[in-house]
Amino acid sequence: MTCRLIAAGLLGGSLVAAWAQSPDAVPPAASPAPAAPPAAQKGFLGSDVPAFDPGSEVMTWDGKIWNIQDQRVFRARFEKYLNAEEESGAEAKKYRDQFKEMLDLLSPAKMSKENFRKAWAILPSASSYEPDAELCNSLDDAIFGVLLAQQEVTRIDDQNRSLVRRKDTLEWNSRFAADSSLLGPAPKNPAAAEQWNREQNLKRDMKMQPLLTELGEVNASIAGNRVKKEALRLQAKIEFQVLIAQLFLQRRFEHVLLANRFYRALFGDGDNQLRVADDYAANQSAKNKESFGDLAKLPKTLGQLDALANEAIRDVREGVESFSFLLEKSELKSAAERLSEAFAVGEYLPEIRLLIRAKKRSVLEFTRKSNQLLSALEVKDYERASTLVKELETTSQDFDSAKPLAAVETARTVSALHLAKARAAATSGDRATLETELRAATEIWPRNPALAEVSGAIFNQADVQQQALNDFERLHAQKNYRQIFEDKVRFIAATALHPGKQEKLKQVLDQVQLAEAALLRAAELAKRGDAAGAWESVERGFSGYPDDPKLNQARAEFTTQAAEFVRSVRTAQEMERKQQLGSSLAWYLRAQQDYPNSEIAQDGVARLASLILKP
Amino acid sequence: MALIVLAGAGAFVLQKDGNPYRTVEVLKPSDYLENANSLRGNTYQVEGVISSSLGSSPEKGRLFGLKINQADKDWPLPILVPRDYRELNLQKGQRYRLKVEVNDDGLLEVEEMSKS
Repeated sequence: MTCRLIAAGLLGGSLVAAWAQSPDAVPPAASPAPAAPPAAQKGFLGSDVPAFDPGSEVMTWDGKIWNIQDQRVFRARFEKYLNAEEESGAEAKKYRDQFKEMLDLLSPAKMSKENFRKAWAILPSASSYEPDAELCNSLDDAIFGVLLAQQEVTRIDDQNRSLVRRKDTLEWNSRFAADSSLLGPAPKNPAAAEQWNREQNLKRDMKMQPLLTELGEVNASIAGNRVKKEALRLQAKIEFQVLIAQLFLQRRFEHVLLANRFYRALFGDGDNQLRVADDYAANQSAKNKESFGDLAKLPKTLGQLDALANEAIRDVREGVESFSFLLEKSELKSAAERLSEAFAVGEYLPEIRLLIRAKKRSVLEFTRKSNQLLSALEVKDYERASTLVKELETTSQDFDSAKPLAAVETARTVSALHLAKARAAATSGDRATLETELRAATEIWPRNPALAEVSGAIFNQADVQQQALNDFERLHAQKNYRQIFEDKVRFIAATALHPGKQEKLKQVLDQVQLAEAALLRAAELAKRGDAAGAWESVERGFSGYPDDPKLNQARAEFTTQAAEFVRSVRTAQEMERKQQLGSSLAWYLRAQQDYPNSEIAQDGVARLASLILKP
Repeated sequence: MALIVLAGAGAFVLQKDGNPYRTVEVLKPSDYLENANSLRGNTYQVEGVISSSLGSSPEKGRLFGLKINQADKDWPLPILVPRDYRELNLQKGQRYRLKVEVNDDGLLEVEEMSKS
């Protein structure tokens, strides 16, 4: 618990400062917010201070929630760190040594003016190391500022001492003036004596008046100097404390320890009360709070800050040790998590900076894929997520694939369900449901490969189907049954769901098939020299489909070849139409005579005979 | 005696020609085929061979096809034999000489007939 709160305290402002991002971002679905946010827990830092819950990787602060692992900026920063070379060069080593030396010189056991000056002298040199970000320089300036303030205090002390001396002189002179006024004999006459006394008192008052006025002024100056001195001392303390607090919020814990020791050396009065919160927090602007954290929520003493910094350093050290151990066990997920936690807290600590790149890179691939997995889940690219889960399972022994796979499988199942409904709607021609289901499937799994495939197929099918129906209607209106017959497969498929059109198509196909059969039979008869039979075959087909160009062509051809027979039949038909039953029957008989096998003639004779003999 | 001679002469003449409808105009099949309705009410004589039986009706009689040869050409014409002649045994291939009237339907309806 303590560790968590310490980490929270450490993380708070600096995380916000470093990662200027929307704190309102809710953790993504892959990492849901915990049921009981850490903010609900009370601690000595208050319920509103940042709190990091390592169980859920969620940090809560000021009513806002961050998931450390899920923050894109943090992820990018962490990946950058994993790729960076360890800071083990000569310059880095020198910097670390200088830090150690300064801390050693300023340690309580060795503290002296001489050591203070030695430590202070190292600061400019340490500041030249680039990763120090010139913080040592800032510390140097702050110390210089305090010393200037102390010089002023010394000057005020000197001035006060002079004022005290002057005060003593004035007091003595005042006393002397008071005493000397009573010297000399007084007159015997009572009246004269009274007059003499009044004159003496007046003289005394006149002598003492300037002395008393100056004495008052001196006393006021002494008092004013005392107040000024105290104000200067307090101002110097607060300015130094602000720097320490800022270093703390920036997670520069080693600098916090060093600044604390300098502070104690500079202000050896044992007053460790942290006045930042009291004196500055009230005037801290909202913008400043947003950038650097709420100063009112800092600890109350420098000792607490010191302890928290030490605890953070220890925590980071343990995190790195844990990382190394887990790495040996090939438990990359846990290793990456421990390292990311340690990195979040102690990004600038030697334990983190000195970690060799080879070790870091061993989890880089895992981290990168984990981040890709989170991204894939965020954008609902479940195919990619599924692939990444498999790869991560292979890489890391402790990777828990249950959650991502559950998300993937759920999305797949629901998406497939919607696609199935879309297919059914497409089949039944229910366009509204088709669109609704396709939209639902798209929302659940936008990059579902089956989605494009199915929707493409459905829409292609719909387009082709509609086009075929349009073609069918157009050809039917043109009575171009032959073309419909030629493309019958397409039209049969297209009209399958339209009973009315299906019936129309059936009639067309029947007609054309009859025409085809007539033509085939005619061709066969013509081969045998039976022109009349061929004509009759074509004629019978023609009656069912008079617009067929093929039938027309064949009919014209065979009419020439069997002219007499054709004339008899046509005249018979004409007479029949005119109700000239006798002539018509005679012509049918004549046609039958010309071509005894004529079915047209036979039918005509039978039909007319029946009519004639009808009672 | 004179009557007997006349009767004998008449019988001779009849026997010599053999056409009982010689006074009736011979039907021109081409005219009939051209427009039978225009011939309605006319009476003609025709001679031909029964080529087919086309049907029969108890009320109207029997319908035959009669093939007439004229100008070296066969003309099949329909002949309606009324029910009055139902006792006659008409068969395909039999040759008949007929007196016919073109009835209201434009059909050749037999009024009299004899084998020739």
